[in-house]
Amino acid sequence: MLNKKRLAIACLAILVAAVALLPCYTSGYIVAFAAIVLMFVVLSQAWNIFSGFTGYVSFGHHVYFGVGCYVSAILLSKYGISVYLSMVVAAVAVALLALIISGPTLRLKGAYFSLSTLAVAIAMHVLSLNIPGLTRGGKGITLPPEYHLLGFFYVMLIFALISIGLAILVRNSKIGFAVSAIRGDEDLAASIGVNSFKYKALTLILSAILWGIMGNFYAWYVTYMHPSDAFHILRLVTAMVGVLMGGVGSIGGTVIGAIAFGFLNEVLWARFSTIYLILLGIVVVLIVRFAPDGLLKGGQRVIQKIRAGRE
Amino acid sequence: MSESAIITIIISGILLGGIYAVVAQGLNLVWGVLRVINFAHGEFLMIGCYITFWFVTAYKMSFFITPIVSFLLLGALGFCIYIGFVKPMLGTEDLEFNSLLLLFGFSLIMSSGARVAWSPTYRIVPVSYGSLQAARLSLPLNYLLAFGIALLVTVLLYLFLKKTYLGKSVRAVVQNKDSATIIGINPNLVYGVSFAIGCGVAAIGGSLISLIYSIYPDMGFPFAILSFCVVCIGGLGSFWGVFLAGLAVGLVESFVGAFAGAEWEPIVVAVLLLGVLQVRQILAR
Repeated sequence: MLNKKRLAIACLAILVAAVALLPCYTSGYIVAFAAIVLMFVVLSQAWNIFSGFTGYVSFGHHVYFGVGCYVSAILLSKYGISVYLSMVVAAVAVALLALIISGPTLRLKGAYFSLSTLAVAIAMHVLSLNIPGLTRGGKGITLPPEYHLLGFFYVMLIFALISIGLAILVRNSKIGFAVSAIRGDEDLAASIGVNSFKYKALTLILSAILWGIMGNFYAWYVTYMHPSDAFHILRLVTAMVGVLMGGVGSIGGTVIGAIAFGFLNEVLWARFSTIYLILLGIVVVLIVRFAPDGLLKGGQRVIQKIRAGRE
Repeated sequence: MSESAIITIIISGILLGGIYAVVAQGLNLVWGVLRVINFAHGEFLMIGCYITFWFVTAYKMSFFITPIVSFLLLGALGFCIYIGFVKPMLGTEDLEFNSLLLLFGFSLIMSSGARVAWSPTYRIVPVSYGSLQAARLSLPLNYLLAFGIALLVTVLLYLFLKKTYLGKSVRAVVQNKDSATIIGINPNLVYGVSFAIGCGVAAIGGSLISLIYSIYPDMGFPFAILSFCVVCIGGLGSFWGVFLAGLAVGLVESFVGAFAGAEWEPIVVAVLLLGVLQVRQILAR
């Protein structure tokens, strides 16, 4: 048992090292692609920490990404602050925003919760278009045009590891037990003394901070920020499908699902750019229809059915 | 601001609100009966707009036939989506989350499909009936016509739910699915019909909207959000509640557009939705 565990850790370490050394032996395109896939690993895992663990489906997580984008876009372009400093500011800003949002939204249940988070995201999107003094509105903000590919790639790799570590930490801590009780039956959890609001808010803030930090580095990397890019709902959907492909609530599954969907996404985009969104929609529909509990379980079910058909 | 300007704002708000109410009524039916949130609701509306556009421009059809055509075509599409994708999902765990993503997938397919097929250009349906002059007010007849058809559709939908056998079975299934099954109602048929009618009504709303606004492939999503908002204000499952809520949202939007500027209009719906959910939450305690 112990040996197996050690072997698995050794394999993972080799894998991480191989990914970390990617820039040494591949082209810039592959590195840029890997960086974006790693970003989606973080986004998926962070979404999983909140929605997967608590069962509260957030449909407004892109608001944290957008705010993170704008914090770094404004700080970097106006004040020339280092991106790592603006990361701290973004994390604090997003944590505060999550705290404010949690009050009114986290007491809602089911679809009403999802709709309220979506409403917050839409309100922030419209706001960012309509306060040109801060965000330059629809004109967008141009950041210092520098080439940050390597930096972005390593930051994404580090945060991918951090997000996985954080997810494991949360799952095995008191918070993890509390939120899994909440997911099972919130009223029952509350009746045995679990402060459900506190733990939901805590996981929401943790997950929001990761989204905000991703936004912060994304703006720095693409060097141009516009409200419809910052608050793009497709980013959220991509993260959600990553979680869904791996199995909602599963940490390892989410990593695999996010990587798999990241690859698929890129191939579709590179090969069929004109009908990319149609194909993406078809992929989403097929995954939800045929493998809503993760590709692994969905695949097992299909194999079982084929076997049963033969006998 | 002069008196006649304010009256114009009120009237145009009510006229728009009547159309919003019909669009939301479709969502109300699907959400209320199947407990599934149709995220592609706005895209059904958008395709309804394009159907009107193409039938009026390419086939030189009278505008009055096009709402019926959109209703039939998109109702059929809705029924197919129900049979193929929604039905196997009903009764499973995580229905809310999965149906949300599923229908978001369909909304992606439809909006980007429309963009590929018909290009992202803004288009205007070339139907104009001039305007009505009355007591220093000038009312575009397009608005009045759209509002009139919206009212007619509202009444027809109400009669369907109250008077026909199928409509009564829809209400029976909402009240108690098991008892309804025992007395011989096929719940699957009821779900399918509700989904189809919900999508079809959205498409009629699209035909009416195309009389007023220019149309483009990404126009649908704001109308989906609007419908969520109207249904939450009116109360899920409440027919006349949703109707009144539609009028109210139209009025508020019209006032905000006139006083704060049209660029603030999209925020109205989001803020109203948040506010209404809070009020409901406080009242429920």
